Amino acid sequence: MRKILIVGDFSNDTSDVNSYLEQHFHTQLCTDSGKIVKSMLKMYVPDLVLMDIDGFENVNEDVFEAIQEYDPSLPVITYGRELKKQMFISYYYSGQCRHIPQPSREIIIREICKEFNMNADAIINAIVDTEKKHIIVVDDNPVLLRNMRNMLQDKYRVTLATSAAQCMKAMGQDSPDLIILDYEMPVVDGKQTLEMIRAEEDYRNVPVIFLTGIADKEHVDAVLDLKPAGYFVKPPMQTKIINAIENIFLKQGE
Amino acid sequence: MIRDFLPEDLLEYHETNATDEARKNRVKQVELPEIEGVDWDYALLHFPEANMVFQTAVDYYDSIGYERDEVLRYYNEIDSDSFPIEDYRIKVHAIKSMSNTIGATALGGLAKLCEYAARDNQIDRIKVLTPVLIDEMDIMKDRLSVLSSEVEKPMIEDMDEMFALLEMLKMSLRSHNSDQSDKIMKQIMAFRYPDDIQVKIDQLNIHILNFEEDEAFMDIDVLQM
Repeated sequence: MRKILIVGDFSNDTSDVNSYLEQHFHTQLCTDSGKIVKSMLKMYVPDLVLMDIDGFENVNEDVFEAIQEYDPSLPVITYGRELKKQMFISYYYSGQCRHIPQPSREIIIREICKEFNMNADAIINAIVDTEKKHIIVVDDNPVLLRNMRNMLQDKYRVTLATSAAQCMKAMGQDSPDLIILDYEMPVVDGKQTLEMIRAEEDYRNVPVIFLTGIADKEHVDAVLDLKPAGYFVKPPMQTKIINAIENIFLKQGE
Repeated sequence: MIRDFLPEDLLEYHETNATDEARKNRVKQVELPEIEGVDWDYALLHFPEANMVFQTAVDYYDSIGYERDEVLRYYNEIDSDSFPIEDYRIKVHAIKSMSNTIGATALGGLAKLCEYAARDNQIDRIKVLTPVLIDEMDIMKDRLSVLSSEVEKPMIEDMDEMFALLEMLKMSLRSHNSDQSDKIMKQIMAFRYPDDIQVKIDQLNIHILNFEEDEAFMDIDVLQM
């Protein structure tokens, strides 16, 4: 797979561009700092550099310098306002850099495919496999979180959170199809976390499976009173929890 | 059903036995070393393959020192008015779950006694049990050390490699790809660094192990300066 280094300011979110390119190329995001780009070029050895220069200022000239110094024949595609291109116009004279003033998914893919002599139409029209369902697992214990990820990641996209706050943040960035929630957590427990989730209109119907480490009747009753989609005593068995998840998704599909 | 076509008198019904399946899995997969106090067969009841048990045990080994320090931190406040008994209870509860996951059921049982003592507000019982729990966690950490490789790490020669790995780690964290973050952190930890940087790398490793993203970002920013 061809390797593309995507340079830009990703402090708020990872790139939308990356989300569709990574389906067809090997991609790596990189901050727009000359020092970091220089180290990344050596380590990653990309076939092409794609740069979002909309946030570039004069100080970012070191990024262009780093690329030119590394390999003046490495193709560079930039996108963003024409004004920004003009700030670094000298780097476009040699032909190493090409600019896309009004990028769209299709235009970016076509420019990249032109560089690699690839069939752009095939990529643009490619039907992407149905995305895996997204599950957020919330547990204050990192070992148990990794355990759950290892059990589930072959079948699902798994995001991990150690607290209610991390869970809410993760939900805001990428809506879950199901949440697995530890009942006992410090500060904000599973019951309070569920209430926070249900308070959000968009997530009212997201199924929640509780995990609890305590199997006494009083505790189980308290969990069941919250009407979860399911509950398991920790540590859960992989086959059982996957079966439970699949049944929930099946019922949703009916 | 195919069963309808088979002669009834030759049919033999066999219920799979979870323990037998666990033992078969143990034989087929990675060799799980004999470790006193760890029942791999119990762990294998919850996983389909030994590789997952092994990886979970390695994660447990990486975390147990930190968890032990947290228990001690809470315990050191036991005689004060502000003993965080609820936080203590949840911590030992987590240790119980973690230990049972890898088959360290005796340690899990001890953590359970501590948890119930905290639940029932039995301070004197906590005072008796916690030092034993801490000792047993130290012993378990020592026993589990066979799971980690003791190959001497090479000193990093090219700091650009460290900068690049840190950048990859930062982007994995931003995209909430914990699997990728763990893999990159392992690559970073495969090297030795000058002392002043090693301290910061070790700190970053703890923050990654504990999913403390904000702290990890701060560590990366400092290291990339």
